[in-house]
Amino acid sequence: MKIGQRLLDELAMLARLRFEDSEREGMLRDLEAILDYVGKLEELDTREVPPTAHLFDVTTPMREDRVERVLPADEALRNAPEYEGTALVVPKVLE
Amino acid sequence: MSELWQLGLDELSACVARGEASCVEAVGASLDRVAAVDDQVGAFLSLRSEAALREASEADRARAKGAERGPLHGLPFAVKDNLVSPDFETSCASRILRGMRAPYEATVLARLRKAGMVALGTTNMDEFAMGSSCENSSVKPTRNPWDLARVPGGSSGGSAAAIAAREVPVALGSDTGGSIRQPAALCGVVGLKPTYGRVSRYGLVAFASSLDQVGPLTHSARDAALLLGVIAGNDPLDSTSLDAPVPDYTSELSGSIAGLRVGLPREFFDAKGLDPGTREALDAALATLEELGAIPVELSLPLTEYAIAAYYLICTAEASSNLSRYDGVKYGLRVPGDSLDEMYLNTRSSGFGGEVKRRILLGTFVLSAGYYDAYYRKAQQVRTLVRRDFEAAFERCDLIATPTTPGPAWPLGERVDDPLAMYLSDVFTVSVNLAGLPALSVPCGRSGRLPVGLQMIGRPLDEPTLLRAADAFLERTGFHRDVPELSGTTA
Repeated sequence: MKIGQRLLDELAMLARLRFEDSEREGMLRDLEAILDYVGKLEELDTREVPPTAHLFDVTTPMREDRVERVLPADEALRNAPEYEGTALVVPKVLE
Repeated sequence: MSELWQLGLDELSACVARGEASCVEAVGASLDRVAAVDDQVGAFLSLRSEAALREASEADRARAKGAERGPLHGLPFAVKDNLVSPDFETSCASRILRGMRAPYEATVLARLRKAGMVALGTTNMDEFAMGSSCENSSVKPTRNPWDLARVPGGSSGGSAAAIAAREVPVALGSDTGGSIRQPAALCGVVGLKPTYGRVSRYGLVAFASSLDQVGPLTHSARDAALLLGVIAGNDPLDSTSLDAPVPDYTSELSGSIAGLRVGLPREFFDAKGLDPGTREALDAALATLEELGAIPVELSLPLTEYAIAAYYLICTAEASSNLSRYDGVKYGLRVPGDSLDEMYLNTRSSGFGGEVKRRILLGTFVLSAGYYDAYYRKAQQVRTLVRRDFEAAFERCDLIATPTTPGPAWPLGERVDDPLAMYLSDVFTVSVNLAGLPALSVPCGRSGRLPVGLQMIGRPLDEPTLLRAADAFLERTGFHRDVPELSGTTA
């Protein structure tokens, strides 16, 4: 499967990743080699086969709607690169 | 008499129970051993020496008052760097998380703490558990204690190497496509991946959530049984954890496997590229199982050759979604930018290593409009076929035995430039994760001077049979007592 520079740019944008010019060729080559390899799945007829998303029958467990554990804001923010009071600080998003 | 650092968990526990060693001595012996050999091996990323000794001393006081919490109270263990705790930093060996100390504790760590165990420190891994050699760590490579010029396997390479070098009696790992079993095989130790859902994933940094599972790396099958008994069980904090009773795994170690039907899938033994030394060790291991009364059953798992392809589509899709949370806002690295988007781009491009970026891109592709059905849905359908393959096989046998890997540990650097070759080293382990089955790897001899692993795969929740067979095999052969010679030996 050919990916090409344009699709690579699109995927990188979706994933919020930037690649230097020196990295692009290698990344493209690796992705195309991997997709060529996984192409072997086409040999299998799966028209009547349901997909597996969950391995075992687990139903979403329910519990009382009661506050149990609360992480205090200062603890939750302790790892944040930047915060003020109880708010995370990010670059301005509105002009 | 053996030195304390040479003892497995069960032996160390007995030693402390008999009063021959204190918990401080047990933990101290591990720390001394780390100090003696880890500059060569590089298994650990962090140590909490003082805190560990303090906890060991509290354990000694509790024991003196007859208030011990159980047989593991005061004994040391190591933690793969992807299980979070307020007691230490967790980075997944990634630049993007360096310095992060979680405000909550992984359930497995809470359970071991409750049993009185002492966390010694964190072990190296491939970044975000993506890799098969530990070379994708952003911190350092870990070396194989059997040959320091070779990889320990991955992604739980630090945990496996720490056990092989006898730096600690037990370490936790995680296994998404073989990340416990493959390094266990390459380092000649025991590694157990439990049934999907047997052990809580709460506090395990997510890589591919439908495949990830936490498990122990140990000296012996008995130690794996001991540890699994503590960490297994339902957890309200992980809705995929199974609500099934936890058996007393150690009481199942009867030593007898007479009449056990051992399935031998020809696709694993006739695989192209199977190392002749590995094949020889496997043949001898199968002969041993037969001597012990097991009945070989030849069978076929025809989907085996498609498992890697399905696996890398599913795991990258899930990873691209799971790793979208690393954005420079809530924790970890932030590389500033003029806009929010610039900051995301700068942070993620600088924080993630090459393999992680490759998998995020691949997963983004697999999930993107126009390709979803052809790739992601197709892989999920093949996953169904892989499960059916195993279900059919288990109608004819009680466990399946295979090589864990196609060959022994390879030289550092050999495969770093060829991601596909690296992926193919997981060829014998990934189908187990796709089907959610329990499996373990035990040492079964050598190829040259390098360890070879025998993989045993069981029915869902049938860890007891796996552990019983592994224990019987190791007690007969003694392979788990082989220890590599490291020049820094503390004797």
